[in-house]
This record gives sequence, structure tokens and C-alpha cells, in this order.
Amino acid sequence: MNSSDSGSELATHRDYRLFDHIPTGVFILSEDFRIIFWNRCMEEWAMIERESLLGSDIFRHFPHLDAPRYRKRIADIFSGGATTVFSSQLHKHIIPAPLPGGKFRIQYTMVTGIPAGIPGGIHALFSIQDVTSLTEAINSYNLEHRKLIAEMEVRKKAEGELKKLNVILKERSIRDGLTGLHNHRHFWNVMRRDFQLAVRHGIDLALLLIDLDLFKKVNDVYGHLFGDTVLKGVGKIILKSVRSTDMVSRYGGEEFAVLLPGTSADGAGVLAENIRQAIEQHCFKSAQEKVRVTASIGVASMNGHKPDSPQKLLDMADNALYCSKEHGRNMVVVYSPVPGE
Amino acid sequence: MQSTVISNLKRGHNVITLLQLDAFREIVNIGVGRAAASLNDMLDSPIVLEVPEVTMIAYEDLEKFSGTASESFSCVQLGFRGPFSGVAALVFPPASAVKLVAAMTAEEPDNPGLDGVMAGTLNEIGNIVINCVIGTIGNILERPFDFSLPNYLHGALREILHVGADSAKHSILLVKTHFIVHEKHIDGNIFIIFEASSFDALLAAIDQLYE
Repeated sequence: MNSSDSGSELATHRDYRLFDHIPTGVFILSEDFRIIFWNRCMEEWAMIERESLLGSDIFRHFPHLDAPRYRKRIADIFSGGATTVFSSQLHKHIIPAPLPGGKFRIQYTMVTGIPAGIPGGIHALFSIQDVTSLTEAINSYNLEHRKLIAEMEVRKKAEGELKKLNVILKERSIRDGLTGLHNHRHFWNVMRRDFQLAVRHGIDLALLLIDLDLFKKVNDVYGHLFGDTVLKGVGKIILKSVRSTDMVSRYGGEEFAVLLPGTSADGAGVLAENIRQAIEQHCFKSAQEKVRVTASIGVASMNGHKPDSPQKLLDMADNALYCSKEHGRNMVVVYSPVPGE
Repeated sequence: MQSTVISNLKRGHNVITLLQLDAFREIVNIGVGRAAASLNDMLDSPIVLEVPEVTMIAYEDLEKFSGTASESFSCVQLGFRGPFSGVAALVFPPASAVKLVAAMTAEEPDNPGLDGVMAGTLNEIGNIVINCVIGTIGNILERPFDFSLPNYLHGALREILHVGADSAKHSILLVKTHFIVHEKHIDGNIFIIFEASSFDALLAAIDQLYE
């Protein structure tokens, strides 16, 4: 560089001193990429005194700017191009400006052509905004947003599982744990409902009470575990014999109840006989031998007797069951007002 | 040159001949080619920039591009002054803007909309494209411009392009642009809005060029 050049540059340098009073990083390049101004803010950020930079090639201090992505666009400014933008996302640090903790200021830069001292000449004015806090605010917002979304997913999943669990709990509350049949409590709920329906619509409702004969002996001889196997097996046999609209429940220890909506005493009697035969014919295998059990069945239906409560209907079936036991077990007895005669 | 008007593309107050429009298309394509080269310098992933259409539209036709009332557009603007003056605006519908930034930065956006950081990226990309297109017009027609600072806006199209009361006198050139990054296709529109008298100057300059 000759002395007259550096003299005019020093003059412009003095003109640019106004930029020392703004909180934006400003520096200016001449057309040969030499630094001709570096404001106070840049001194602070980059931690470089301007005296050590003025008049020297920018690429000597910041070689990364020599890449085409920067150099070409800066050259465009010197040939009269419009202001160019270097965003913070695509170029985080045009001029590295360290912060405490090893981080760097995130920068948003605009490069504008300004008239140089000589006619037709253009200098490139870099103005750098510090967008560190804005970027950090956006990042932490995005982080929170992501966390919230993740939390919502977890909650949604938990809600789904809770729903499933509730279905299971509800199902369990109406089931007998051993046989999987409906339990005593649920039997009565359905019994009361079906009884009302039968009365209102004038249709029949039949009830079977099935009691395994001498079941205590099975338990005593083969053990309770085998007894449980028999109870489960009998439950399955009964289930197989009835329609899907009928309800089979374990009424008590070795006693089962079957509600048969829309079924007459005759129809229920036939069904009961089928069940009795199926139980009698079934062979349960214990460790030592094959075991057979039998059942006594009491049958009652509403038509013809008009019981005035569900309990009455049950009493009628119980009555018939008692009669079956009295007459030697392993038989079906259909309730009639003068049973056993 | 006294070119025969084969078909008058009469829009607003100005008439452009097919020859002039062809010339303009060529200039715009050169500019867009330069923009693509510049974007490719900057990004690791190759980008293709196409101009499927350059056409004149009437001010009323802007309605067609403004979408639903609630739809917000992202827009990078550059004002230019010189023998012909006006404003160039690259406009993206919101979904395209997010898609473009995501493709360019290889980051999946956290939010459905653009945040401030993403807006900065869009500002830069738009700035490169518009500078190259307008810069090339100035260079080829040998009419240097004074430029305003780039401006990034987000909002309803009509508000963004805030064409004034005498807007009917403006001539609007529409440059449809099509970005292809990472096999993603993104459409944006450049509206170059010329002030009434300057459009004649532009046409005269184009005529001179082909004399």
C-alpha cells in the first residue's frame, strides 16, 4: 500500500468513529478486503484492538471468510450488489466473539455497500447484531415445548393403560376367580334385571341350580387342588351347553346357577338333563386315577307359578334341587308346587 | 426497435410484448442461476432452483395468491431505486417456509410455525435469491440500482406487499420459483412490483438491449 492510500483511509477511519457509540458490531472493508474500520463494540466482542487490524487483510485474521460462501457474496457488494444477509442459523459466528463459559456470541450479520472516498468506489460495511439471548430464549422455549409434548404422550399412554386396567378390574369384579364364570354378586344383579324384564314383557325366565354330588368326598380323597380342577371343568361343560344369552355363574362352593331368559320349564328341563349327562360322562384325570362326578339339578321357571320376587324363583329352584338330593342325587327335578310327591 | 405486438398482454396500464417478456424471462433465469450457485456454495446439500413461469399479473390477481384470510406468508423484500424503481418480494406460504428452512438446515422444526431463528435463515435465502435476480436485471440492462436494506415480514399477503393507493398503476411481474432440496419440492413466488412510470423505462431498456 502506498502512503497516500493509507492517508485517505485514516481520514475515512475518523469519519466512521460515530459507529463507536452504537451497541452493534461494525467493521468496514475496502475493495481489496482490507479492514479500514473496526468499532469499539467489535473490539469488545472479538477481544482484538483495532490498531492491530487496521490496514490488514481480513483473511489474515479470519481465514474462514475466504471460503466462497463468504468471499463471493462480499465481492458482490463491491460490484454494486444489494445488502446481503448472513443469518444466525446458517452462520453462527462471522467473527468469533467468545463469551464466558466457552460459548460464542451468536451473530446476525448484514453487509451493505457504502460509498468509498474515491468516486465510484464501494466499501463493505458489516453490521453484526448479537442474537445470543434471543436464540437461547427460542431454544429453551423449543426445549420446553418438546418436553411438554413428550409429557402429553406419556400421559396419553398412561390414560390408555388406566382405561384398559379399569376394564380388567370391572371384568374381575363380576367374575369368579377360580372358574372365570360370573360370581354370586353379579348373578343377583342380572337375576333382578332379568326378573323385571320377564315380568314387564310377560316372557318366561328359567333358573337351574346345579350342585355337585358328594363333592366334599372328592376334596377329601383327591385334595383341594383336584377339587378346583373339577369345578373349573364342570364350569366349562355347563358353558358349552347353554346359549350365549344364558348366564352361567358360580353361586357358591360347588353350586352353579344358570339363568335362561325366554325359556320355559320344559325347555330348561331338557337342557338340565343334557348338562347332567355331560357331567356324568366326563372323566377327570387325577394323578392316580380317573374320577367321575355327578350333579343334582333343580329347575324352576316363572310361568305357571308367578313368583313375586327373584328370591321366590330361587327358592323354587332350590326346592327342586333339595328334592333331587332327597331322591338319590344325579337327577334333574323340575319344580312343581307339590314337589317330591 | 418497433416490435410487432403479437399478443397484447394487457394488464393494468402496461402492455408488454411477447418478445419483451421472453427477454425478461431470460434475464430472470440468469439471475436465478446465479442464486442457485450462491446457495450451493453455502449449503452442504445440493439445491436446485427452477423458474417454471415468468408472467405479468394485474394488481387484482394478487388475490389469487393470498390464500385464506388467516393464512400468514413469510416474505423477504428488497426495495430498489434507479431508472426503474419498485420492490421485489419473495413470498412463501407458511408450510413451504418451514419446509424450506428444515430442508436447508437439516433440522426438523420443533414447532409447526417459524421461530425467530428460522426466520433469519429464510431471510438469508430470500435475500440471496432476490439480490441475484434484481442484481442481474441491473447488470444486464446496465442500469445500476440503489437498494434498500432487506426486510423480512410475516403476515397477510396484502399487508406485506403494502402497495399504496395508486397500486392499480403498478405493474407486477410474477416469477414462480421452485426449490428442490433433499428431494423436497418447495414453491415460492417472487413478485416484482414496478412503480408505474418505471415499467416503461424497463421495457425501453429491454428494447435497447435487443436492438
